[in-house]
Amino acid sequence: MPLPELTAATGDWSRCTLCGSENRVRVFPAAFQSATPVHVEARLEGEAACFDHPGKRAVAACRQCGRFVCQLCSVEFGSEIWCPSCVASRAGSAAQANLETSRTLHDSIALIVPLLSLVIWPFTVITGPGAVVYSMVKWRAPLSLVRRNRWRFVAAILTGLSMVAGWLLLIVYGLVRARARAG
Amino acid sequence: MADRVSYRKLPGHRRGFLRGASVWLGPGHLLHVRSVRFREEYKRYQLQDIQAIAIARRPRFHISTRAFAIACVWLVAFAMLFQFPGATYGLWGVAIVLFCAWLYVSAAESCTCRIYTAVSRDELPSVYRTWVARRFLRALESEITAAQGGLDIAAGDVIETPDVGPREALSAAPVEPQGVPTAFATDDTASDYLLAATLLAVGLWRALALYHPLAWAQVVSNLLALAVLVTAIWVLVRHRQQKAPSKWLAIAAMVIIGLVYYVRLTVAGALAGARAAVEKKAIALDYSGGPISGYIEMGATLLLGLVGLGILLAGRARRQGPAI
Repeated sequence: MPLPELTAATGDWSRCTLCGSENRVRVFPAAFQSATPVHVEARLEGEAACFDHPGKRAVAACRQCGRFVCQLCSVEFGSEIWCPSCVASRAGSAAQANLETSRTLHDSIALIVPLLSLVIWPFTVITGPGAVVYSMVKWRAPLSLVRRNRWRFVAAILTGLSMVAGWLLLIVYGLVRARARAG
Repeated sequence: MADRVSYRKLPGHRRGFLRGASVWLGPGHLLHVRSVRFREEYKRYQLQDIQAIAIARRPRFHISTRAFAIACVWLVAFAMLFQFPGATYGLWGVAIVLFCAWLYVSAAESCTCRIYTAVSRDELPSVYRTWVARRFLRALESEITAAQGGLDIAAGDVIETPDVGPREALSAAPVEPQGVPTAFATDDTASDYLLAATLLAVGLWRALALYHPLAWAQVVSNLLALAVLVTAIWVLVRHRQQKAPSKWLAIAAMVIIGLVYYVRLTVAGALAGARAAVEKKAIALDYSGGPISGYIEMGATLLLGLVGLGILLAGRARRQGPAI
């Protein structure tokens, strides 16, 4: 997308010269770097070939498995070169480069479901013990990438246990009262 | 392990009832986290790839969970101080001030924030207030400058900026990737029509019963509500892997019907219990819930039915395309 002609950063909001809207734009040096297309050179007689593309000249060896890679196949990890299959299998330090794109938040499920069930409280007979069991089963499941503690699991277990205790008290109270009536 | 990467939260957090968003700074990259209730989706931007960050003033009328919590606190305070007229006037004053502040901030102090790389142009929903955007830029600018170096431009210079963002945006309108369902990608089915029809039927029947009370009106009303629930489940099953608006209508219908019937029963039970305690005799439970419940059910179901009709008509118009 083309940005309009900009006045270099003077601090705050400025008006777009095209539409008049108030904008604040910070442009970084990456915007001025022209993208250089990858040229994969054909292999000449006697030259090393790429593992996946035998007709292409190898430019590096994979740091993990040692396979030769062409310009197209080389993946940069910091200062190292990796081949696509090592990246895909997350071998060695490739595992450090977290490639996950989504995660399920089991701790939130464990906490929110029993709390929501309070709206229709008879459901707590299922969700209370369910929250305790679910929290214990999923205790070691990966949490959010950015939230690191398990307080939601602890809260879910406490909530579930208090629901179970409430139901037990209700049942005991009902039995005692029924017996008192009968007696 | 992958989890060893430590992240620092950058200013801005969108807290919605179902959706949320935040941006975190990791080693050499930004992590954009979008959460959809029980799931988080991540997108990473390498600091050396970020071409520009653009913030544009724009009204954003977002009700965050914090605002909702404040409203709940206000409601509780109002319920507790209902007996004291002086206090209720004060509470109304507080409510008006809070509402005006929210209106002003939403209209005049809100913005959208976009991040540009050579291959993407994405909005960051977590940055939607101008003061947050200012703090966000301040926190991020130094990190990006450290990764890319600074621009050698003096303040006030006029520069010709290059094209930023993905190349395809220059030449053509964005092409929807194949296989990704869009809002109106699905054909209407019998279940969609039936859902709209049953919703309208419940609303109209309620209206009739309110103005011409019939002995068996409640039975028919309950049967119609049951039909709505069954049809809503049918719609959900029919569109289970599609992004159809009638799916949201079905969910809304189930929630509304469930709430109306649950609240009606709870209130009727509580009122009967209170009357029985005061009069010291057994009181028969009135399950109909009275006219207020009837008006709420009528209004909500008629509204949902009309929305359903609108969705069907809009879908049909879109499929037929513009008239030539």
